[in-house]
Amino acid sequence: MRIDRFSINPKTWLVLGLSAVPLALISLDIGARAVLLLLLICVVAWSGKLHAYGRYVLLGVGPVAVTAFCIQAVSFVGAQTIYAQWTPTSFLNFRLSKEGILYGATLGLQILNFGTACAIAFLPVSAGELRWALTDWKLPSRLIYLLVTSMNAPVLLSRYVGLVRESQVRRGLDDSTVFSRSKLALTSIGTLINLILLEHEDRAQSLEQRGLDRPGERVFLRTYPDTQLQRVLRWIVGACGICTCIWGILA
Amino acid sequence: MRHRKVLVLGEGQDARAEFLAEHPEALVLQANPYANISGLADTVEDEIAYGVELTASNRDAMRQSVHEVSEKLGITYLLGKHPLGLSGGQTQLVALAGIFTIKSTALFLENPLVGLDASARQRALALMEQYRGELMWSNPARVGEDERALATSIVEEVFEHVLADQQSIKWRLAPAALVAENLEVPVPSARWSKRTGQTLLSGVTLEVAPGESLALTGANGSGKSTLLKTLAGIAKPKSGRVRVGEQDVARTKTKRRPQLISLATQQPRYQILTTSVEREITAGASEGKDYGRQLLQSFDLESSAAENPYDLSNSAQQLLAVACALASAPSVLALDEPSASLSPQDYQTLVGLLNSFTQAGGVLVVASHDEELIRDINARVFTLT
Repeated sequence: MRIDRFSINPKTWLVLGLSAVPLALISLDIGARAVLLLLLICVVAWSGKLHAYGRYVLLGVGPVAVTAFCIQAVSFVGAQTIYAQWTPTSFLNFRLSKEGILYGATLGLQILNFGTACAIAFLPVSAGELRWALTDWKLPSRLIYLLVTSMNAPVLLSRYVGLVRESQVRRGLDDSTVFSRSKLALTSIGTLINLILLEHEDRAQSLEQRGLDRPGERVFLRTYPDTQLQRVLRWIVGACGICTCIWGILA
Repeated sequence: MRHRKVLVLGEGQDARAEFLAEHPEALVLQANPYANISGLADTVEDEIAYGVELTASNRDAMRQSVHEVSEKLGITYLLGKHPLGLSGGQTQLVALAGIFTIKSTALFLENPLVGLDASARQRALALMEQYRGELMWSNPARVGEDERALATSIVEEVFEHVLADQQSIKWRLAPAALVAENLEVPVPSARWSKRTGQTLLSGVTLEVAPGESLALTGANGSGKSTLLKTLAGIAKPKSGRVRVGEQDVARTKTKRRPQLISLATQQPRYQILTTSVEREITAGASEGKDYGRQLLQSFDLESSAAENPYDLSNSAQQLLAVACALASAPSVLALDEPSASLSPQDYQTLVGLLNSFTQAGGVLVVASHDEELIRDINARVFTLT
């Protein structure tokens, strides 16, 4: 039976991604981490979100992984094979070591594993789909709101950043150099926070009016395809995820 | 039984409190249309349906009520779009549809007609007329006869505002014509989404001489705001160019551009950059404190100089946005819906200053649905279709 990505239920994406998170957290060697990352990237590619994933790695999880690698590569305690050493002051001793590089690479891959598992859960799923899935799982409405708005935060934040940025450009605030752009970004943080807080307050009132907190069964306009196979798959993958968690804790 | 339809002339904070005390079940539509968009929906249709998800008996009934209200407001063509990618007027219509779909027994609407074109305004008024429940709405700006005719009673808020002696201002500007040649304007895309590459406006050519006013008109979503941003060098055209005098706007450095053309956009709250009115007027490419103070005096905002701009009324925020746009001494002043939330007194202040600006040789370009404003500033009309 052929399964195309458009027929995957949002709940299936969420279970797939969330079940991969424990795998990212348990202890694995570098080879297993690399294979896991490749597998996860294949799933992201199949979901059709490789472009968005690329941006997410480049701007979010990638720099964290690279920083973790760099720190470990030059500061691994108890290293035996030292490739280079630099001691700028008596209390700072950077040693690039084989063990540090290996440990840093494993840690970096672990961060990428974690980020990619989260990407599988959230990139192929829109805000509306996530809300539908979480509501179907009977989660409390306020928690759903928090999760969906957290997922939607980059979209909303980018809108606010755009508004502040546009306002600065309209007023002729210099943006000709990297330095002036960085300065503008720093000075806009207060404005951005003001704007977000004010609109968030208004939005919260509006949502409350429209029944955010009211209990009851919700009817959704949209339906999402689901099959027996996907339901079974969700149970199996979910159970595997839980087993991995238990195994990770016991080990 | 005939339900009351009460119009409040003013921002309506006190009247709203009284109304909510009398009708605790009442729903409130807030003045900022963007804050009424939940951020939880993928399409306008889902956004409108959000409020009835708990009360609808089934999906078909829900879809029917969403489509019914959307049809009445003339926004069925928007139902498949993303709610965060709409124009200001379209967002207001979606917010109205969202609240009218709920079928509450009482409604309080803050400035519900703001930013709507003439036909959308008529449709919104018709929907308000058909509403079977207690309805109160506020309008801090000038109120049309059609709006008055709908009201069963009118509450007039007492304005504490006393118009100060309007100071005449010595405008600093270098008169120059605004010329747009064969502009092709793309459909604006949200920062997070892929660019569609579609064209919104093509072949736009216009020339406005020093001392002249031009009004851009057209239906909600016709591209007025996008064209203003393109003229001001903030949005890039696909082709064509904009000149102020001999200078190409797109090729002028950001910090010099506001002296050629300066823009105040539709939502004054989104333009605030600092924590006091005094700082706001001198932020960016301004002509300095003295000129800023003169502008604050002329706009009757001097007494609010130390206040945080967020604490001003909507009307005063709108005046401040225009004053800030003028603080760079531009040859061309571009304004997007500058009169939408202005109180009648502030409207008079604005009209007086805009006319004085053009008499001094300034070019004024205004995107507006406000026919009275267009008449009062004696603007030539350029309609976008």
